[in-house]
Amino acid sequence: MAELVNGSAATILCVDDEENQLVLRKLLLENAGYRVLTADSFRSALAIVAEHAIDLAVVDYWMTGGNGVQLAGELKHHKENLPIVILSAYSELPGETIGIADAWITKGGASQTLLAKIEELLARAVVRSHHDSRSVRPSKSN
Amino acid sequence: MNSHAPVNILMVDDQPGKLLTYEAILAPLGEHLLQASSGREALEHLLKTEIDGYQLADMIHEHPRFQKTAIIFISAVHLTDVDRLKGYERGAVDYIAVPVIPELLRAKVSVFAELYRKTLQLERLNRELEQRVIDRTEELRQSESQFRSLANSIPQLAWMANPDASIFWYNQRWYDYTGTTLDEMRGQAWKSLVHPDHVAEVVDGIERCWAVDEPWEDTFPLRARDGSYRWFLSRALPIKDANGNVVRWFGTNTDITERKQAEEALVKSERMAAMGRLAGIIAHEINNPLEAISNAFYLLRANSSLNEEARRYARLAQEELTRLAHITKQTLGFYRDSRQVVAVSLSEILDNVLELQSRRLQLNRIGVERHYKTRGTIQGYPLELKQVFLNLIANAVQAMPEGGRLRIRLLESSGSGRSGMRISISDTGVGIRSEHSKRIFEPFFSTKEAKGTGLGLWISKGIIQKYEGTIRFRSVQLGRGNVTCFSVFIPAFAAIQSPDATAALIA
Repeated sequence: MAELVNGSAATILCVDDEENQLVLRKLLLENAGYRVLTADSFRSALAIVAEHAIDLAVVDYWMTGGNGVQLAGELKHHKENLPIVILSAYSELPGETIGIADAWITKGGASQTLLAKIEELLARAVVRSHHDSRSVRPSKSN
Repeated sequence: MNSHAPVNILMVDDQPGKLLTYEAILAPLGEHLLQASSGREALEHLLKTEIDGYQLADMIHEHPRFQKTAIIFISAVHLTDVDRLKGYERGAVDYIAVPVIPELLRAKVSVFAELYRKTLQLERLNRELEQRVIDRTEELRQSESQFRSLANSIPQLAWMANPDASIFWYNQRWYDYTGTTLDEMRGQAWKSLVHPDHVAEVVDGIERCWAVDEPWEDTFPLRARDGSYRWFLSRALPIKDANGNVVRWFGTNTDITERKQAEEALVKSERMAAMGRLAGIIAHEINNPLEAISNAFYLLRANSSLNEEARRYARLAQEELTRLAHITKQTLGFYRDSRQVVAVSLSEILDNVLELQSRRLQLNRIGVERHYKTRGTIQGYPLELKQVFLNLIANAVQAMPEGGRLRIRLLESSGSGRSGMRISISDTGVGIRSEHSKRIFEPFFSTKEAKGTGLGLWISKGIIQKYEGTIRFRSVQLGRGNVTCFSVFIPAFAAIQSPDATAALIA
């Protein structure tokens, strides 16, 4: 479930500037079998993707130093097919978020929501890599 | 005629010699002398008959132009008193016996000539005076009529009072608005039309101004003929004479009800926008720790080192957290961080609103029918559209406390040549009374008493109008029940104005 096609655990980058949240999210994802790297700022997030192979990123929308949408843009620039989930404590996110992120989730809901979304995005990425390594991102379901 | 212009003096005698004598006597007077040797000749200026002196006098006086001509008879015959009376009756003013004494004749003619001139002058002055009276009366009438038409054409109610503050005149608008008459309204009776909550303060204020002859201004509700009240801005000015004494008061009452309502609406909508922003911030501050706590309990539940009882506690805590998250979303969810128009799926919005109302739908035992004929999108702001349909659906639900059927239709439509979406929401609730139908989109109109703000439909209409759309309703009686249907049309492509801060909490 938390494994890629080659059998290794998927690596997830979690970005949030609030420590408790970041730690708990890391534990949640590790508990689900993922390998988790964390970053508490824009800069450290970009440093991590430069050094490590990342399979998916979970980014907080509202951070000091720039919002999650901007970071998502940077990450996509670095790795075009990287699936990105944006989290927001606001009940609704601006429309442009949907354009760049692969999913967005309102904070405060059940933990399973995030886990299920990650699983879905990783499964899609696997299917895509089977098909064609140059394939475009799948269109969002309505 | 100039007051020194010569007077025409006609000398009549059948003896040319005498005429010459009279001329010589009267020439020094400088008047204009005319001669006639007979009555006939005398009348050549006037008439043409052979007549004696008396007849001549009669005829002269019969003519309107010569009625006041002085006639002096010169008689060689000794005149009896009867003759004199006869002469006077005919308007003669004097007699001179022959032989004529030149000084006497000249003096008499001079007196009469002068008298004639004065009379003419007097008549002229009199005529001028009469004309002036006519002119002034006409001016006054015109000014009065101008004042009246002005006073009746202004949109204000207007009135005038004596210096003692008793009102003696109102314009027509006052009577039209209040349904009163001048007799009912004379003096201080206007006080009975001021709203009872305001009358003491109003009277106090106006009396203070009256006491010191200062202009007065106040705002208060005045009762209309149907018993309802509207707000007026009232002003009164003292009108003073040249010596600075107040001769009357002139007052107006301007209807400011709509302005007042708009101001109040603005204040409310600003307050609501502020609340919306605050709600967004609070939601943000709650959701952040909520996520952390949820994750912590999720991990606790999954922790195999804990016994069954401890995991049960974690599960219970998790359930309550879910409820907390739901409430946060429901009450603090109306916050928009976006200033950009996006593609909005109305079916998603309608589902979303129905989800929010699900508990109440269940409690009221309301059956829901969804007929979505399209899954298409329109360009807009999701939150304000959600607000519109939440208002309409919440109203429908509240109209069915005893249960009923809520039917929601969504279809593509081309209303008045424009393509777009039509959404209709119908309920089988209490219906809308016909006397309310004209007012339901007005701000602060509510039939829900303390429960309603009276702003829901007003805001909804405002939002839909921004999309150049329409919102209409129909409420009909069917059997023993009512069917009320609100229909909204939103064009697919509208030049939407940027959203004003309508993000708000609406129930």
